Amino acid sequence: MTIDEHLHHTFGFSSFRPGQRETIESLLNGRHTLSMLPTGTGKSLCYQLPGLMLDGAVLIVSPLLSLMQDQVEQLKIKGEKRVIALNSFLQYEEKHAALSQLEQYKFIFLSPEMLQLPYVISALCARSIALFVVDEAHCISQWGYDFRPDYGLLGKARKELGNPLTLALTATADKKVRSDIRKTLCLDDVSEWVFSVNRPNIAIDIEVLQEPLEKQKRLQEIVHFLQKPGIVYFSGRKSAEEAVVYLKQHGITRTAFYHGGMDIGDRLLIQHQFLNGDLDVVCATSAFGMGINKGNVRFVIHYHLPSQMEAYLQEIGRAGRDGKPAISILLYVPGDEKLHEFIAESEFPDEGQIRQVTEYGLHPRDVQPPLSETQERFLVHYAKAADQHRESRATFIKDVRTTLLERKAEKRFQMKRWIEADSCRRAAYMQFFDEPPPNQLNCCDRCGFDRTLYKESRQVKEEADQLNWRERLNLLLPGH
Amino acid sequence: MRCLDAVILHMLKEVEGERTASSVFHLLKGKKSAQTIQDAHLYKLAKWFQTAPFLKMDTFDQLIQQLLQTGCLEGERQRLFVTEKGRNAMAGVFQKTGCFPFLSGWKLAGTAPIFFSRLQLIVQVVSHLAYSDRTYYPITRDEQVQSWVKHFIKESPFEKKALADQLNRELSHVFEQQPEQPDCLLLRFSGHGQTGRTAWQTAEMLNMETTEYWFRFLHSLHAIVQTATEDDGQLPLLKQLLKGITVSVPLTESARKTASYLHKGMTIEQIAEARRLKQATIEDHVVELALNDPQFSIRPFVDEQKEAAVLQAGGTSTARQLKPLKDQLPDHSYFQIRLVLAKESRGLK
Repeated sequence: MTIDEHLHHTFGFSSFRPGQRETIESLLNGRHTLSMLPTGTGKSLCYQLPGLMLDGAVLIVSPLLSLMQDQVEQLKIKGEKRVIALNSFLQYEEKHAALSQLEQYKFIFLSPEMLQLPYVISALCARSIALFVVDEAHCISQWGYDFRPDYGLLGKARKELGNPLTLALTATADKKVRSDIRKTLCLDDVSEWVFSVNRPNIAIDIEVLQEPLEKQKRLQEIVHFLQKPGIVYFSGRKSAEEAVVYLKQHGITRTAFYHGGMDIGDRLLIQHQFLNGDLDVVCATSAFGMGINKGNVRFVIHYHLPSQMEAYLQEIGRAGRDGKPAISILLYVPGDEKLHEFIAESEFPDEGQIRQVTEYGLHPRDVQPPLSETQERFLVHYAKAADQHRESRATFIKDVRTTLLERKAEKRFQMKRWIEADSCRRAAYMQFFDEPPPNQLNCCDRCGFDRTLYKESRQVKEEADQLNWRERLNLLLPGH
Repeated sequence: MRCLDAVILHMLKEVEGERTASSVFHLLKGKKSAQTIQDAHLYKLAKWFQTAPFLKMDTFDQLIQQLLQTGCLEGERQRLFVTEKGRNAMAGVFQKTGCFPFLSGWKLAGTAPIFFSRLQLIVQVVSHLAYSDRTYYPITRDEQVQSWVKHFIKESPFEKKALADQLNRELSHVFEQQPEQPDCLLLRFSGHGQTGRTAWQTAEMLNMETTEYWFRFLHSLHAIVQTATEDDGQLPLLKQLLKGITVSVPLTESARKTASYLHKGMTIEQIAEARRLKQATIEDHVVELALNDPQFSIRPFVDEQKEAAVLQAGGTSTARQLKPLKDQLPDHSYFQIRLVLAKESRGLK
């Protein structure tokens, strides 16, 4: 089959989205490829399709367990059963069973730390590898959004795997980050495909309010007005939960919250309800959205200022994947950025915690107060790095912490400047990625847009569940 | 007053200041320590064991603080007593909810969640089969549950289409037998045309306070598991769902070490010396092993006669404290009494 036939028959699409064809053809020509495609334009097709046409396995490195599971499920639902995810959550026996039968699998998803294990590498080497995919490749760079220290070791792993054909995928990477990706993965000869970060069908709106207390009321008005479904992002779990209660009290009943503090089963259910159209609004923290493939999201609202431009673009990119008009609204109260100062600090261990490990030799797991997963990963990684550089662990780790915090502060400041500027929102963020200003209709609050395009036109459906339990059971399990 | 508050008051009332608030917390969380498990049986609180696994220490502390402030409790954290006001408020809650007679945390806290997880997935799979609808996301990502269910469907003696009918019949039957609104469970299922609700959402839909919903849900689930366990052939599918649920024994690391020394044939004294621990600590480990490991024999430490004597002295049910038992049995050590109690409570599992 040709790539077009695969697209129609296997994936059921009539045409490629921007960048997909270029990326796939580049790979099929045997070229290492770095592709930057805007969020929400079907990046996974870029390795799924060539994967089916090449002999051998496709390895996909993915930064998050939940993202990996989403991708595995999406492949399975398309009928591809030769899929497995290898991560640290697998039991020892399961991992070994999987590794001894690798030839059964076409698509092998891995967390980066799995590629640090010699027995995993040797098992993979025994299987012929058609394609090595680094998803969310911006995680490689300290300059990137969402830096993951263990992504920095992927170059070594790639070498150990015999330098297989490689695809680095990202949605947000400026020049500097792209150069870091090439360097870290040792991709000297690489085709680079950079597509515009612009998503022209998403209007950009920023509303500046004077008081934090005005936000709930304003949110409620906006949600009533806008066509649904949509996502509202919060920077804290509690505010997301409170907003749900408030929205429900004001007649927006089909709404639910989603955050990392919920148990896995509940999180999955909210995700399914959203996908199945049972919910109009999900009030969520940034934990929600990655890996969710829903075309008809009509709005994304930021209740709090996002930590940086890249995060903002990733999150608004979940709107309007079907190409129809969608809107992104950011509610800003001067001083909102303070919240992120606090959040940024909490992502790293504090000086006392660092000292407990470096000076008193405690195991990271015994540190008081206990370290979060991110904090522990940070400490362990940079303790090792310090040893390699033959530097004092304490100083090295503290220096890294300071540098990264400064960088985050810089990114926050950039975001604040963007909000306060009088110029076109879209032109400004495209400039971050060295793109020329666009010229389009329905652009942003500075250039003006037609609000009625985003207005709710349907009658809001009332929750009309009057079934008794027998009827409910008979609908679920028919047969009599 | 929330249902959880009433449950906590009830438990504090049963321990009557002989145990701290923490011991109630550990019971609700289902901590597998010798002390907690003994408390469960001595104070007849075994049904509540591990019935609030979602509790966090700081929220629990806040709850206790509130109960003190509102005058439902008095005393301090180490020794708390339920006041008249507390007893009335608690009675008010239980009058509405009943006292959850089928709840059986000690026996079912390990089994019920796995049973429910399997049931949720089976209902989803069978529902989609019945409607010939092949595209859906599984309600659980637990791979063990997924592969178990796959196997179950493959091996089932029922035709794929007949499965829905049979499962419907069995669920109708158990829903009629159990004490709560069937919607407590039914709304949690996903299938063709319905996406399961979270516990929080279900509580809201049924107009219940969240912790009340939680206990009613567990109550219903435990009742159904018991009906399925005792069934003699009417509920082949549900009974099959209970097969092979192994609840792994989460021993403390230290108790595990002691177990391996015991296997080598060492005595308690020798182990204490080798590990530089107190003999009493090693004895705690042995009690922990006796509580958790069904293969563990207490015989090297207590002979049959002594075991019988403890049981006769009422060691299983009536005694609330070790002291009176010990007074009746001057030839027994505390360690021996605890071992027998531990073995007995294991039998209840």
